[in-house]
Amino acid sequence: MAVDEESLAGLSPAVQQEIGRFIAKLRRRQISSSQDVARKTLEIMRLTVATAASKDISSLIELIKAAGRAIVASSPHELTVGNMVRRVLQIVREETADDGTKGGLSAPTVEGGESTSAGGGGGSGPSLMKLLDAPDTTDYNRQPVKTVKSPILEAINELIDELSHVCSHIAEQAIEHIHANEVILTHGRDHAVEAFLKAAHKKRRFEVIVAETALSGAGRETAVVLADAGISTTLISDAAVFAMMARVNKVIIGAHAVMANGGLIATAGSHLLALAAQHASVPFVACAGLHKLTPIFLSNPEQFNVLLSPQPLLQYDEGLQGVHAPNPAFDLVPPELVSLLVTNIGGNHPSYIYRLLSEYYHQEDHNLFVN
Amino acid sequence: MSRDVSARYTQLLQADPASSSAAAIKALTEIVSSSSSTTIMGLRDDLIHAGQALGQRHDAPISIASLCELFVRFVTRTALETRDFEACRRLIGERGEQFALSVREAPRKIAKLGAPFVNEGGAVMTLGYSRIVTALLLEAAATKHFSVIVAESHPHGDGHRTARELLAAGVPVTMVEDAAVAYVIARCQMTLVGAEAVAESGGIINKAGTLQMAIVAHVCKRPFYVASESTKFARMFPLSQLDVPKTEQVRTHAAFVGQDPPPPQLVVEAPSRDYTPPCYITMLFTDLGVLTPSAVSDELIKLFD
Amino acid sequence: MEADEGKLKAAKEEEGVGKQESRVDRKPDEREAKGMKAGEGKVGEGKPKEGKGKEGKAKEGKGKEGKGAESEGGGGKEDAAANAEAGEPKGKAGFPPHGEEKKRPASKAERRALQEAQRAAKEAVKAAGGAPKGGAPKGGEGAKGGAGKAGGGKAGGGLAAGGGKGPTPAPMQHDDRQAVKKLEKQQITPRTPANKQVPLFHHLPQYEREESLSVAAVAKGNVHPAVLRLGLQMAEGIVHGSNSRVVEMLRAFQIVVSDFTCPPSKVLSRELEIHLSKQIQYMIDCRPQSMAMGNATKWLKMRVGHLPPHLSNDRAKALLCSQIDTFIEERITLADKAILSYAESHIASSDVVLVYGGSQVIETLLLHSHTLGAQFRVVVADSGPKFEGREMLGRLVEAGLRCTYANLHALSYVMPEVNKVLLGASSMLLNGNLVSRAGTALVAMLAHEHGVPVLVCCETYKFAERVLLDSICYNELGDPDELVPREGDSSKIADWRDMPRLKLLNLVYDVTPMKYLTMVVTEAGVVPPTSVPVIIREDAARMALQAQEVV
Repeated sequence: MAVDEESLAGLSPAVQQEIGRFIAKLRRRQISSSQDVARKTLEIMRLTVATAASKDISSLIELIKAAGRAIVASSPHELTVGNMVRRVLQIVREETADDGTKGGLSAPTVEGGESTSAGGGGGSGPSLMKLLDAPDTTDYNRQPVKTVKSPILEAINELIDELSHVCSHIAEQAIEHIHANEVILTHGRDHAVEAFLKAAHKKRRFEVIVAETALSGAGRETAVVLADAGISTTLISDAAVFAMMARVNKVIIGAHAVMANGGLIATAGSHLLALAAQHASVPFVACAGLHKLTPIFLSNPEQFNVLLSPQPLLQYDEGLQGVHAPNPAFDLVPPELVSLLVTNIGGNHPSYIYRLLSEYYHQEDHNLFVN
Repeated sequence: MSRDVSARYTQLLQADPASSSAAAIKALTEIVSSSSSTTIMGLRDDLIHAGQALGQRHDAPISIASLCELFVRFVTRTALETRDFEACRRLIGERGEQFALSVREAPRKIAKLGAPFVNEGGAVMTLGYSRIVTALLLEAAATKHFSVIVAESHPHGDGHRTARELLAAGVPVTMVEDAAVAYVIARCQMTLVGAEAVAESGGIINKAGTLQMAIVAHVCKRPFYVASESTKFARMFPLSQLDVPKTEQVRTHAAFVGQDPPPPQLVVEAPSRDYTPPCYITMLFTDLGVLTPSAVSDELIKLFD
Repeated sequence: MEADEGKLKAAKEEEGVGKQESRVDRKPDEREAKGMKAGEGKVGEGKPKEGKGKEGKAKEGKGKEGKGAESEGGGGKEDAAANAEAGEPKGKAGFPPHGEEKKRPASKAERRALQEAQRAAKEAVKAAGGAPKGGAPKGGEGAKGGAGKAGGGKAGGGLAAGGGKGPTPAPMQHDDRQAVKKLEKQQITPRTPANKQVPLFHHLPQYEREESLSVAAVAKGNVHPAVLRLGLQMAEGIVHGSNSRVVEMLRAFQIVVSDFTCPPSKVLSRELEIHLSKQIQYMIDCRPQSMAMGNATKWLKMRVGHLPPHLSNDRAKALLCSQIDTFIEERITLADKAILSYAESHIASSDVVLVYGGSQVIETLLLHSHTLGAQFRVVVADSGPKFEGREMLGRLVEAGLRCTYANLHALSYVMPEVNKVLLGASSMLLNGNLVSRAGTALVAMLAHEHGVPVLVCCETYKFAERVLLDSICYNELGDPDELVPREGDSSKIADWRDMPRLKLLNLVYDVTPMKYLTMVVTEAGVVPPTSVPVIIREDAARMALQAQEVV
């Protein structure tokens, strides 16, 4: 899919080059970890802001969106890209609103708890309370870009820093959730989960059962890594998951993305794991950094999925004509099956996710493809 | 005064039957403009009385009381900010107008939010008539092919109105009796209903038959969506069906309309509304965005604390 | 135990029955049930040359001890095999070790008299019809109750014997050291316990893959070549699938029976039973029996035990062979045909049918329905490490069916378009649960989640009189090396044996809870899974009736 040249016109050549390189890497699946994708996106955003020639904030926002759209369009299933773009947009809006004069009626702080700058701020987006307020007239053009550029760049750097600590923040909570002599079931390969289990292992002895996760075999890598770290690990085939669930105390997996309703997009096979856990009344815990939080409500389950080559399953020379062999990369796990979401800011119930959305993203940015 | 309000409300409603919330707010706004009070407290009192009067009407939506409370709070807040009483009045007047306009926009907003959730080639089940739901389905029909199964919503048969409007737009419609909802649910991909009021728990109060449809959808693992404006958010937390506000009108049970009256020992109940708890609701489409039932409570907390 | 063994050794010089004597004291009934007289030549007779005690086990390095135990073991194996529902030999487990020291061995004459008396009593009861299993009075004894089952084994399966019989005794558990020791003595091919055992499954046998399973058996010379071959084929997986294994096993036993020459002074049925037990033990050594195989061997033992004594040996053997033929014909071949006829009405043209793994019955059903003209689609779900569905997929595609091939991880992706699930069975349990290839439970669970009906096709001979709550209580542990991919693997998993903290577990079966099943199609008709115990009981009653028939 060719990058839309026109939309990138406003971006500096350096940025365009970076975007091009990044898109190429994504297409070749050379970057696999969500954290790396997120960090790279933020770096591109930082470069965009730094090199932006815009005079006013609105056009800066447009520029950021254009850059974001180009990357998202090339790899729609890498939801982290869109998330990071939205985070940057939220930063821009926040910095502007803070410094600029407030337009319209300013609502006084409610209970002194959250600050509500006019129309935007924590609890951005329309709410019942603002129904009768003036429409959001945060004047993004009051401020010249120059004054807000450096706070924005600073905030982006903070975000990049926060990103590098995601795994350790998640791992810190491990000791709360994993106790002595427990049997933990996991599958797939996720750095957050690995960090989580290794951190718990420092203080407690427990066992881990890893499902091999066909067809990628990612589970095997996890098993080797955990065994090397000294954790007592057993590798089982995917088919034995239901059988072993009878002895499992907790299921802990990573997620590719967390949807707005608290549901997960995770490695294919996770839905089966979640259902089996529900059957055995075993808590199902997902570890995901907040960079994976996506403000999209999935209307169509198929829109997020990627179908990979059936090569590992059926060889082309096997002579099986006309056989459809789907190899989906991801599974959708509905929120009612998830007991706990361990994020870098703490553990939450999936029903709380919508709240985090309004804190991190601005309502207007939920759909990047609409002005 | 209260009769005036009531009369004015009726007038406004006749002029634009589409939204009772807009009519109510307009009526209240006019009270503010035409009130003889010179203090905020007086204004508040007038409004509270007017709100009560409207709430007592038998055709008032359940949420009218909350709406009036919302308006009173807004007035109080505005007054605190604006020094000048007259300026305050004018401001309130303006805002009231604006609000009425935005309320009229709500169905379109909700339709745009909810239309992507209708699957191409699928079937949507709905109940009775709700202009929000109809608007949503028509919006979806503009770009997708799907069919609709309507439960006729006995005894008033509002479902027929939905069916007519959808057929006019070329959407294939199947009409079933309320009793056949469980029979047809396997064919549907989703269920969509409107709401007369959205409770603080995230549950809804709607025509009798809604709870049944929600339970059937839950058992058959179909999503149950609710489309409703945010002005329907009411500050109530029903714990069971007993807490559902009863309408003043008592209607005759359908079986006895035009027939001999029931024998005296027979207890006949004809509830017109029921309460659907949030555990059966998948998502709400509102003009505030797509909300999970837990988010509704959040909104109400933010507003009314 | 050590002191005891010393004592036994002392007594061994005379007759080599030292150990047995103390055992005899404790379980006279059982000895009776075996039809052996105490102190009879039985002990001297059946002593094979080799000590069967595992060389690797440091505990019992005494060859003589091994020998003594072997002959005892011979008898133990017999009634153990008679009980083999799960095909695991029952041990005389559970006797408190100190009990042996406490008891004073009675004099030989006294013992013999006691045994005669008890045997007579037993025959009398048997003659009266509906012999109760020895299990009832033995209830208080060892937890593994192998003893009780012995009487039951002789009483014609005794499955539906009169009230007052206890529950089916639990099969042997491998974490019971005494039972394991017993087993090792009985084994024809010694199996090395796995290097890295998974603690969760200590109650099940976990063995390393043997380089050669048949060497020891050939050396012993008491395993029939047909059985030798079959055992190896089963261990290699060449013969697989529940029906195939049972049919091949019975065919092999037919050959064994025909070739068997009974020593002139012996009773055919008893000798044959002992002989068959050895064959069965060898096959178990190669690969643990499935529950269906256990049912079949139980039936066979019952038939052997009820050979009419008036027939000549040759006629009896011919009778037995024809009975085996009938069993295969009625319970398997015709049953499959009946199942086909019941099930095909449930496959309509517009259906999308999901099947899992490779089941013979299901494959035949699909091909048959296709020839009848139904235009349905098939989704073949499959999973590692064996990928048994692939062969079936090939044959279905050849026959012209439209197929989709989905690995387990893609199941959530394909299930929304499926409107029926057909499953084969290894066995169905008394509580309505289904025992089948690992992964079946996941398929059934997901189908249930989507409101898709699950049909199980299962012949009634596979119904087992057992209850399993989950898949851990009883399972088969396959070769863990199957989980290591043959090539193209970037992880270091191939070196798993060198990693001290890493274990590999290859479960063969799993148990699907009844609530996920909609319908069971058997030759007796189409029933809800709650009716499975009813069929089991009726079956058992029929078997008991057959047992008392005079052919």
